[in-house]
Amino acid sequence: MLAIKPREGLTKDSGSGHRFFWGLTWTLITFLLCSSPAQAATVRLLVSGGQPYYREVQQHFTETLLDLSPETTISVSVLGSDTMQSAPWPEDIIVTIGTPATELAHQNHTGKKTIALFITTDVWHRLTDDHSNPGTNAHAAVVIDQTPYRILLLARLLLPKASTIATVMGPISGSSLTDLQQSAKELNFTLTANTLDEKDNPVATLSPLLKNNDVFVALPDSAVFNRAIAKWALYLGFRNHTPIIGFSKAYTDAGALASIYTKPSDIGRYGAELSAKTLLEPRTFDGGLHHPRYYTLHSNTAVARALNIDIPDQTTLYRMYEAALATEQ
Amino acid sequence: MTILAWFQNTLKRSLQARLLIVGSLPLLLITTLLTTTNIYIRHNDITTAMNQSGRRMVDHLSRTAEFALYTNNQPLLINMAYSIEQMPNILGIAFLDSSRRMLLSSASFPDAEAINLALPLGIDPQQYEHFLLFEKPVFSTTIEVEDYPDNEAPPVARKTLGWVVVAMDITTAHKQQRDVVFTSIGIATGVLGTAFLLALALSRSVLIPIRKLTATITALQQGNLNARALVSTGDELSVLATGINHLAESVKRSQSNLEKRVHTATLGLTNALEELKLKNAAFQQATMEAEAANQAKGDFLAHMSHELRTPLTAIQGFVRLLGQSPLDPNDKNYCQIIERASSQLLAIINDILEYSKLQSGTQVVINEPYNLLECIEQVVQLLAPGAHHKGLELYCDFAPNTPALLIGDTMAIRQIMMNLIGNAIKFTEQGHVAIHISITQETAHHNNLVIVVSDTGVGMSPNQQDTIFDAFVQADTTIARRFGGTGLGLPIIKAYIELMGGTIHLDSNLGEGTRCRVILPLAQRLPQPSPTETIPGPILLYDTDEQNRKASHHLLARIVNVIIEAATFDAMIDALAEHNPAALLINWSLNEPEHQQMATLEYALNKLSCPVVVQAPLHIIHEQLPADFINDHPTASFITKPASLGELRSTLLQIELTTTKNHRTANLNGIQILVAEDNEFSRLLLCTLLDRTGCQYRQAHNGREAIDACLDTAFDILLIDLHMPEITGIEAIREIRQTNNPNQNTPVIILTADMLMDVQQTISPLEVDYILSKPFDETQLLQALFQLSGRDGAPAPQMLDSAASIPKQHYFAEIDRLLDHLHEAFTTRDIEAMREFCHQLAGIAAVYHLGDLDEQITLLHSLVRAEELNRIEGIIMHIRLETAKLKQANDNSSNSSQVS
Repeated sequence: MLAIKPREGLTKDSGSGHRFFWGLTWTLITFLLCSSPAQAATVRLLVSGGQPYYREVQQHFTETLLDLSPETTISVSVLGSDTMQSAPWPEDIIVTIGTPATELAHQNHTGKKTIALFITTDVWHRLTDDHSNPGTNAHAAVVIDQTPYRILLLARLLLPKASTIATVMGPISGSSLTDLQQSAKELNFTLTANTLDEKDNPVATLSPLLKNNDVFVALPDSAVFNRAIAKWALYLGFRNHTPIIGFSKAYTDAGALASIYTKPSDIGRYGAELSAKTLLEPRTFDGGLHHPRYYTLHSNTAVARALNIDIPDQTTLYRMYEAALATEQ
Repeated sequence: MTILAWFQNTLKRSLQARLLIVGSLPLLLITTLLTTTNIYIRHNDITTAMNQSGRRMVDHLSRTAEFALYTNNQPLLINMAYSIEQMPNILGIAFLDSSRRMLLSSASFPDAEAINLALPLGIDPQQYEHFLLFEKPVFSTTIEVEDYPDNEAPPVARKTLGWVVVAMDITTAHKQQRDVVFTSIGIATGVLGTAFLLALALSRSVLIPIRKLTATITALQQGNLNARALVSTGDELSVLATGINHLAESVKRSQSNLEKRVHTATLGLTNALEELKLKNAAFQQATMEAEAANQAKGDFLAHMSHELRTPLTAIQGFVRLLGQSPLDPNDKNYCQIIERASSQLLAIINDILEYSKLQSGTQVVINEPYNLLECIEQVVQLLAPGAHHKGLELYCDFAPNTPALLIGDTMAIRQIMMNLIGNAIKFTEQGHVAIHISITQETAHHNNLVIVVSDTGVGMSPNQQDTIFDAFVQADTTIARRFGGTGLGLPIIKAYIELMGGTIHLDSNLGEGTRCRVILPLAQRLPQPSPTETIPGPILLYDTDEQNRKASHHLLARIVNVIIEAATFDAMIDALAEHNPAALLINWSLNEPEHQQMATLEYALNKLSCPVVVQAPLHIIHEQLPADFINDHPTASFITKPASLGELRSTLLQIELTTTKNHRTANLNGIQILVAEDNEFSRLLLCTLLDRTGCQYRQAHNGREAIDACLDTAFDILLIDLHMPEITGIEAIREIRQTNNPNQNTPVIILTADMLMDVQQTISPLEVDYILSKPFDETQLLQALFQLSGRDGAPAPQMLDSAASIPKQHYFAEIDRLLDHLHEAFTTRDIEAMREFCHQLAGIAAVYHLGDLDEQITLLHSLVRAEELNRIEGIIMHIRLETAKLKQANDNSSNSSQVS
C-alpha cells in the first residue's frame, strides 16, 4: 500500500479560482507580515504530550508559522513536562495540540484567541457545548476528522457503479447524519444508515448492511468502530464481497478498500496558516470548527484484488479525487 | 546359584565358551542398547507426533472458530468439525461456550459422561482409555482501527468466546509403538543370532587346533615325550605346533642327557654318602669320647670336691676342738693357723668348684619365692662383726619401695651379696661400707632390683677395673699377699649376675673407694604379705650417724607407725619431753667416741623412764659394755647391730606388751587345743608354752592322729604343723573341714618352717586362720591364741621365753638326730626324706639363736631344695662341728653354773 502525500497547495478548495484567491491571500499575508511594525507577535503553543504525532503536529506548525511570520515568537509548553508554564499566558494567541491541551486552555478562560489542533469533532462539540465556558467565540479548532462528503466522494471515485451505500452510526457519528445524507444525495448514493450501540450484536446489525449494499462506509466513532467490532465489518465485507471505505490508514491496512484521512503534518500546517492569519488580522479571526484543508488518500490493492475491483494507482486516484473535489467546490 | 556355579565352571574350563562370550557379549550389549534406544526414541516420536498433531488441530480450530462461536453459527461449527474429523487419528471435535457448556460435538466424540468437561483440562492433553483430549480457549481478537490511538484509553480485555476440544484416537499410536518394539526386537535377535553363529564358527576354527596343541602338551607333561602336535592350518598355530614339536624333541634329548648325568652324579653321591657315614661315625665316636671326658671331668670335680672338702672339714672341726682343749699358747697359735689355712683352702676349693660349674654351664638359676630383706640381712649380720671389728660402719638401707617377697635365686643373691660386701670390707681400712637396695621401674611391667655396695676403701685404677672380672686376677699382685683371696669372687658373681640377666657396673677411683652397682631384672611381682602387726609408736630413733639413721628409719618404717628422729643428745632429750615415746632406740655409732656414747647410754638407762633398746655392734656388747652394766638394766634390750627387721619387731613388741598402760594379762583357762606336730622338740616347745597359759591341750604326732583326735573331741583351736609324715597338715585340715566333723569350723593355726614356699604353693588363706613361721614367735603365737579364743588381753610376761626353761641338751639331741637322718637320706639320695628332715631342722634351728647354726641350716635347706647334693655333705659336717662346739660351750656353761 502506498500512502500518497498531498502536494503542496492542494486543498479541498483547489482549482484555478481558488488557487488564485489563496495565492493572493498569501501574498498579502506575506506582505503585511514583512511590512508590519517592529513589534513581534507571540504565540503560546500548548502541546498535550510527547507522543510522536503531537511532536509531528508541533514541528509542522512551527516550521510553517515561522515561514509565514518569521518574527513570531513561539513559546512551547508540553503538558506534564518541565516546559509547562501555567496560565495566564501573556502571548497574543494560544494554540493547543491535542485534547488535553485544548481542555486546559478552555478551563483557564484566558479570553484570548485560541486555536485547537488535532482534536476530534466530538471533542470540539463537547467543549463548545459547555455553556458555562464564556468566550467560546474566541475559539477555533482544526479537527482530525474528514467530512462525510470527502469519504463518500472517495467511494464514488473507486466504485462508480455503486448505487447503494450503507453505514452504521453511533452516538458520536450520529451528529453528521444530515451531512451524510446530503453528501449521498449529491453523489447519487442510496444511503442506509443504521444505528449501533453497545447493547447490539454488531454482526447482526452489520450483516444485512454489508450483504444488501454495494459499499459500506465506516465513520469514525469510538463507540461503534472499536477494535473488537471493526473486524466484523471487514470479515462480513469480505464474505459478501462488499468493499468498505475507511477513515484511517490502520483500518485500510486491516482490510478496508481505501480511506481518506488527515496526517499530523496536514493539521500542523493548516493550523499554522490559521494562526498566521489571526496574528495578521485579529479581527478576521475565524472561530469555530475547521475540517483539515489537507488530506491523504490510501488504498489496499490486495483487498481490491480480492474483491475484483479495479482501482487506479495512487497518483491517478489522487488526481481524480482532487479534480472531483474541485468540481464540487 | 547352581546355574551361576555351572556357568562359572564352564567359563573356567572352556576356552570356547570364553571366546564366545568375548565375541558376543559386546555385540549383545551394543545391540541391546541400540534396540532399547531405538524403541525409546521411536516410541517418543510417535507420542510427540500425536501430541503435535492434536495441538495443531486444536490451535487451528481455536483460531478459526472465533466467528462461529461469536455468532453461535452451528452450521459453520459443524463444517469446521467435519473438516477436522477427516484428519487421521481424529476421533471427534467438541465446541464449548464460555461457560464450558457443550455447544456442539461430533458424533464420534467420546461420550460426555465418560469425561468431565466442566473444568478446564489444562495445557497438556488428558489421556483416557483409548483417546487423548486436547483443548484450547477461543478468544475474541482485536484489530487496530485508529491511526492515533488514545494512549490513555483502557486496553480492551481479551474475552473468551468458548472452547475447542479435540479427541485423538491413540490406539493407532499404540499399535505403531508395539510394531516398533516387535520390529526392533526381531532385528536385534536376527543380528545377534547371526553374530553368535559367526563367533561360534570362528571359535571352533581356532579352538580345534588349540585343543590338539593342548592334548600334545598334556601328553608331554605326563611324560610322553614322543607325542607330537599335528596342526596344519598354515597360520600362527601351525608355527606354534612346529615349535612345540621342536621343544618336545629338545626336551627328549635333554632328558636323555640328564638321565645320564644323574646316573653319574648318583654314583658319585653314593660314594660321598658312604664317606660321610664313615666320618659321621668317627665324629659320633669322638663326641661320645668328649662327653665321657667331660663327664669324667665333672665326676672328678665332684669327687675331688667331696674328697677334698670332707677331710678338710674334719680337719677344721678337730683343729677347733683341739684349740678348745688345754694347750700351751704356742700350740693354740698353731691350731689357729691351721684353722685359718684350712678355712682359706676350703673357700678356695668352693670358689674353684663353683666357678668351674659356672664356666661349664651346668649351673642354673633357680627362681623361687624368697624374702629379700631376710636374705640380705643374714649376709649383713654375718659380715657385720668383721666390719665393726675393723672400725667400719656397715650401713644397710632398704629403700621404702623395696618389696620383701621376690622371685629369684636366693643362693645366687646371697653369694653376690656375700662377695660384694666381703670385698668391700676386705679392701676398706677406715670409713664405712654402705649397702643400698631399691627397685627401679623401667617400664610399666618391667622392674629392676638395684643393689649398690659402696665403700671408702683403697679403690682401683682404670687399668685394674678392666681386668677385675677376669678369673684369678686381682687388682694388684700385692693384693693377694695383702688381703688374700683367689681372685674368683668377682668373676663368680658376675657370672651369676649375667646368668640372671643382670649387669654389674664398677665405679672406682684409686684411694677414694669403690661403688658396685648391680641391676637384676625382676621376673615378676609377687603379692606382698599383708602388713604384720604394726607398732603404733612413737619410737624415738637416736643416731648421730645420719646415714645409719636414715637406713634404720627406713627399716623401722616397715613395722612402726610413728618414728621420731634425733641426731643429737639435746634433740633426743627434747623429743623425749615432747613426744613421750613408747621406746627409745639408741644406735651405737662407731664414728662417735665411746665415752660419749657410754655417757649417753648411762643417762638413758638411769634417768629415763622410757624403755630403751640399744643397738650396738657385737664386740661392743660383749667386750666394751661391762657385764654388770647390762645386768643392772634388765628392762633395757641390747640387740646386735645391724638388727634384722624381725629382731626389731620382736624387741619392740615385747616392750609394747610389757609397758602398755592399763596392761591386762589374760590366760587360756578352759580352752581346748589340739597340738599336731611330728617333731618332738617343736612339740615340747609348744607344750611348754601352752602349759603356762592354763589351757588344755591334746598332742598328735602326725596328720592321721590329728584327724582321729578331731573326730571325738571338739577343740577350740587347732595348732597344726604343715609338714608331717603320712598326712600333711594341710591335708588333715581339709579332711577335718570336709567331713561331718565337730571341728569343721574350728579355727586353725598353721606352723611352717618354709612360709614362702608353702604360702605360695599350698595354703589357701581361706583354709586357715593364722600362718606362723617356725621357729615361732611366742608373742605372736600367744596373741593369735588369745584372739581366736576370744580372750581379751595380753599374755603375761611369765608365759614367754618357754625355750629358756627347756634344757638345751634336748635341742642338741634333736639336732643330732635330724642330722643323722639327713645324712642317711643323703647317702641313699632320698631327696624327699632329705627335704623332710631339712624342714624339721629349719623349724628348730633358730630357737636359741646359737652361733651361725640357724644360718648354716637355712643354707642347707636351700641346697636340698635346689638338689645341689655336692655341697650338702660339707654343710652337714659343718653343722655337726658347730653343734659340737655349741654343745661343748653349753656343757661348760652348765658346769660352771653348777660350780658357782
